[in-house]
Amino acid sequence: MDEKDTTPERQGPEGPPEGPVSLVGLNHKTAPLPARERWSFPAEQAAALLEAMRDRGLVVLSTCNRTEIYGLGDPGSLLEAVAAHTGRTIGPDRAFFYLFDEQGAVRHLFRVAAGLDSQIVGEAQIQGQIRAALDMAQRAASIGPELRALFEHAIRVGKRARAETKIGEGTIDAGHAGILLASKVYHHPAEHPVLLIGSGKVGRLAARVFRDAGAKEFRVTSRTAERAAALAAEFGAEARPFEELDAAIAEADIVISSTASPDPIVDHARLNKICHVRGQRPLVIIDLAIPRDFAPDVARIPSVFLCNIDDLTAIVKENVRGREGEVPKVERIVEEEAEKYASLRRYRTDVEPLLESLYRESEAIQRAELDPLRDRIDPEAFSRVEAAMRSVSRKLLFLQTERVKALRDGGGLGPDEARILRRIFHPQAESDGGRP
Amino acid sequence: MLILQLLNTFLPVAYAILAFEYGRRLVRGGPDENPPLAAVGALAGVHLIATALRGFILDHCPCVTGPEVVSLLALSMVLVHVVLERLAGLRGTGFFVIGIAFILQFFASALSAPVQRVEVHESFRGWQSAVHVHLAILGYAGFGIAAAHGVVYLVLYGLIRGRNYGPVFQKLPSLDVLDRLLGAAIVVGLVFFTLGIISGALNVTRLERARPPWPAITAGVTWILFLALLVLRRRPAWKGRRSAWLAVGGLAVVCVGLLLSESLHRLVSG
Repeated sequence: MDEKDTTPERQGPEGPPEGPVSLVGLNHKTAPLPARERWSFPAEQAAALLEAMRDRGLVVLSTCNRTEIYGLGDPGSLLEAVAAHTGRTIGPDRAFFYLFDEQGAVRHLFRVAAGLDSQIVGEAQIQGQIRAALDMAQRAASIGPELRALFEHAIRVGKRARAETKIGEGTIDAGHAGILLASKVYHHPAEHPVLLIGSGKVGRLAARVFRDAGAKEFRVTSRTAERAAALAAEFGAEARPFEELDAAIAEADIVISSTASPDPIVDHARLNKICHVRGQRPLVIIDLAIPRDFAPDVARIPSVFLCNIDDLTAIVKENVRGREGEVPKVERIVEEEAEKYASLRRYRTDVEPLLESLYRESEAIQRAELDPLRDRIDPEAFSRVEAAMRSVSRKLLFLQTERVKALRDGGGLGPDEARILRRIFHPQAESDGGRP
Repeated sequence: MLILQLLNTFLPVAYAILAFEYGRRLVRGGPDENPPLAAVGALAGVHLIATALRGFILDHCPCVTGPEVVSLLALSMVLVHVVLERLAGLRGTGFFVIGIAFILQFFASALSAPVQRVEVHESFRGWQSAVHVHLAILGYAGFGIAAAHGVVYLVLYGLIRGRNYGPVFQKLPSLDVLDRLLGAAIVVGLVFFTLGIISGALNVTRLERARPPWPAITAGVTWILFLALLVLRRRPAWKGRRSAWLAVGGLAVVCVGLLLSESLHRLVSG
């Protein structure tokens, strides 16, 4: 954990307070499903919590894999307060929670946004969930500039991680794995005729992926004419009678099958004949039925590329492994962005007020120098002198301000730099240990 | 001579290292990258310099002995592949092309070691023979590229049917793309090879002495074999796996013919 700052600070007269961020949360890595269920916050409950704890400045990120509450002040007391407001008992669940404050919380949120903390590394859904959590907090007016800046920065980190690395690449669902497999036989699978056999849910999902990829020639067939008609309507496809299955397979290059048949509907001899009719053109069969619709030995036919649900799962696993290879690069981005965020925050909290006080002091010095002249020279000349002095002063300060901002933007505004700036420009505040 | 000996040893080693690097990037997970073009270009450059030096030091066109032709074939394949890789954005086939180039260069270096001066018939110092040999080599390079794509086709076919969905499966282009490239390479190879045969026939008429039959037999068998493959490919059943096997077998026949027929055109020592 990072340095602690246990009390919310700089509470304004209106709106949520400001101060260092803390986080309490549990996720699929730290907590079993029952515990995650106990601490999940459906939208209405999350909105109620935000309303009730507005004084702590709150954002609730609740998904099927995690519940994370970002707020101000000490994370331990934040957890107690959340439990108290929602009538839940922490008890033994305390062991499942992680508590972070300041930079720990920032780093964690950035890792979550980059997909490093997801069950499937790099999945993109989490970015939308973070955006939704931020929107909900804004609607409930439970969020101040500090948390808003943090969440907006986190969304940018997520985008950067996916743009600069391959953490989000590769297929991670069965439908797309089917397309990938077909694309290893046919470069543009969508340009080849697709046949959907049966109305099983998994098969329909896979067929939708092909349709969404632009498959134009779609045919469907089912044992019952009504189901075939329904499928044809869903996919804008041509319905073929089940009795014409052989002809339909012969016309297709890609077959997706998911019937509820207890036995294979196509055996080796039957498919061999079909392949002969096809002139041994490659045939991709994605058999998603359990039990399988195509006898396993049809894979012996040289022009047949048969895959089942296990093969698609294997492809997904391979892709996830590929994404894991990108993790070190994304970790570096997270670290870099966390430093940048710390620098920005330090600028907002330590340096910006210092610069404001410098401008105020400069104005005061000008007034002190100019006031004695006011009655000794004519008003027009006085105005010119006043404008010239103000211009010189602002230009001088502007240059210094820009240099400090450049330091901030490069992530180089560390605690030492902030202290030196205070010591140079506001020694009184430094010796008091306070801000200007 | 020492520099030629060194280059003769260096080239297969360098091809092996490059093939290893392509292979390493192919089998590892993560981003799909090829070795830097500069490395491939540098090796091709060294190969070109070695070929030119050979011609200069040995005082003959460096493509008259079997090993010399095989070495030039390796170089041509690498150059054609670099163009394909950069222009067509082809990924995943480099290991196989460079791998075949390594095998060719290995045999070329092994069979020409130690490097010795050979006597070349005067008539083969003319531009006519240079045109003939270069056209023929471009034809062989086409067949070599076809064979390389045939190897990739067979590897991917095996991976899909063996349910091996690792990084190699992910990075190779599709079977139909490989098959199309194989077909295109055969067409290009046949065009150049046919021109090479015609120019060779014209060249022979200039020669005063009798020609041994081996080069003509080798060229004839190669031409018939690849033309037959092209004709057979008009049937769907002969595309894909069968074409791939035939292209690989065809290249093997070409290489054996080139290397075993004592020397390509018996140009050495009269």
